[in-house]
Amino acid sequence: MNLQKSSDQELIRLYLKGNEASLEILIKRHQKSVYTSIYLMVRDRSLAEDIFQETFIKIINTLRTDRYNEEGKFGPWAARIGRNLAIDYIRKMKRDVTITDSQGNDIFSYLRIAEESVEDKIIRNQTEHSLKELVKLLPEEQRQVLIMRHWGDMSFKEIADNTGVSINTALGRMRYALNNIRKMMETQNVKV
Amino acid sequence: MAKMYTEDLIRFIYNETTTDESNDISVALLSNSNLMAEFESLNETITQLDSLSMIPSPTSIKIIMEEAHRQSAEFAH
Repeated sequence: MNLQKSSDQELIRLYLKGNEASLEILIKRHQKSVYTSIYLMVRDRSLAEDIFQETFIKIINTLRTDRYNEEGKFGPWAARIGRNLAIDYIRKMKRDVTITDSQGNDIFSYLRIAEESVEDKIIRNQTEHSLKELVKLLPEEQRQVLIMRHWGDMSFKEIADNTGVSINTALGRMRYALNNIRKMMETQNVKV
Repeated sequence: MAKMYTEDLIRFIYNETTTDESNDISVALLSNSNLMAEFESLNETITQLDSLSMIPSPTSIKIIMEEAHRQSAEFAH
């Protein structure tokens, strides 16, 4: 039996019957969309690897306890789990780091701004810029919509529901994201 | 569709338009060179995003499979 040609549903069924090879095929089939979504959220490879592992371990638990009911939509469901775990991590980081300056202001925001400034300088000094870096530079709202639509395979309606905005707002953010990437590619000599 | 907006073209590229909308956009693209230029620009940017695909390390896959195997063994008992 050629497992590579099996549907996601079939691979899940075979895995639950004890065929671990089918699970590995399922993971590798969706690894790009899930991992890329996570990486573009957290912008750190090592962290993305950890969250990717956590994502699929959570998926395995869900499959094993018979709570999976996303028939035909495994890919977007998996990417959504990864994205939510990434968001949880980012929120936890912001919550746990509560160092304040002498005026009582949270210095986390200063640290983030300083990081981005250094990153911007490095990128500005480069003669070639990767598309990856440009996506990372997008404002968070635009980057989220782009990630969810392009790599998470969520519809704009699902994105709007998930982020608590109207579908027009989600589409507007996507428009800005694509325009910004296009402009940055034109001005910064991005090679793909 | 009365007037085409960039958002409509984005939905069209991502296959989120209805059949009627898709037909209207296709007709409009053929007769409006500005709209076609915008469509081609958007499509090019979106196509280039496809090249930005990353994969995890083989170690991550190995760790996941080890956990899956561990759970299978536990489940079997």
